[in-house]
Amino acid sequence: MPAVYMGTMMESRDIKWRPKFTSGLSDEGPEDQRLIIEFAGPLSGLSWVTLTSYGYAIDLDALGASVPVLFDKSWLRNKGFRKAGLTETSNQKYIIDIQL
Amino acid sequence: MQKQQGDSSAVSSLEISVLDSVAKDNLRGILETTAELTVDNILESEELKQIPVFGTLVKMVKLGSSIRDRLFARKLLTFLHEVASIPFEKRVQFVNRLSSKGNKQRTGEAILLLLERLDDMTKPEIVGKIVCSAILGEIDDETSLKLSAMVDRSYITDLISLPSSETGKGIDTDVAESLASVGLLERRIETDLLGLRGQKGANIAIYSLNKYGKILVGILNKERE
Repeated sequence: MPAVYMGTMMESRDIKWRPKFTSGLSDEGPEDQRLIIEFAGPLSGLSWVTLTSYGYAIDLDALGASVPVLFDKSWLRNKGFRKAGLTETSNQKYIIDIQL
Repeated sequence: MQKQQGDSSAVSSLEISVLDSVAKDNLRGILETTAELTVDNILESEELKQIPVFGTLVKMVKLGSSIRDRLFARKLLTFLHEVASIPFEKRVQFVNRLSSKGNKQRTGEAILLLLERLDDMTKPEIVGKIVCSAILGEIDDETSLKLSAMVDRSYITDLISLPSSETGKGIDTDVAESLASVGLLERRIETDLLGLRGQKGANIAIYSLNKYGKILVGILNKERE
């Protein structure tokens, strides 16, 4: 099972984060090496989201630095950029699927 | 390469001798004695004459060898350095297999034509690595020839960036487009959902390694002895 986290951008542009599905996570991370982020709000302008020649990528180091409580974990550390599948489920609601 | 009138038999034997060189016993040992050779003295080396293709080449160009001949010899040497990393038995099996299929001359020709055209001294090394994969049976002969032709058509700095094309921040779009045009990346059009390159919803080109790109990255990343 993937690890799933939710992020919601408030009007103040602060982001409220919470784990959605992380039960049984070991220090090695999710067994299927997938991290999913369900995000509500505009993703553009966030330092950890980038568009590369091979598509959208998430800078996991930047994500860990901006939300250390949730993402500064051994299984995410020093991973750098990872290719991400991005789906817009409704207006400004996204699912980001990251293969670690 | 300079060719003299009526020299077709020598040219033909050059094509055969390039693969005889691939299957040469103690190829690695001979090449180890040639590390100091330069473009100036490569065709005067007595050690290199033990390798069939150099013996034939020296006979062909013994009078008035040009810079081009010497650069060609240098490319050949670089190519053989890579091939020499493969065990002798495997190299012999490879050449015997080509002979039994009647492909020895054709493959020899293809290698010679390609090496002669290569416009950078890193490319013969890459072509050597590709042929090593074919010798080991990791890729088939046609794939080996196709990949070598793609290497020939690529700009060397673009080629070196190929392994980075799907990692980190990726590569420049211009470089990606160039690698797509030679057949190593595939290009698809997607919608920029976030508008990170301009207007939200605009079309953007995304590049990913195709079958040949993946094989070549695997070969480039492989460390041989």
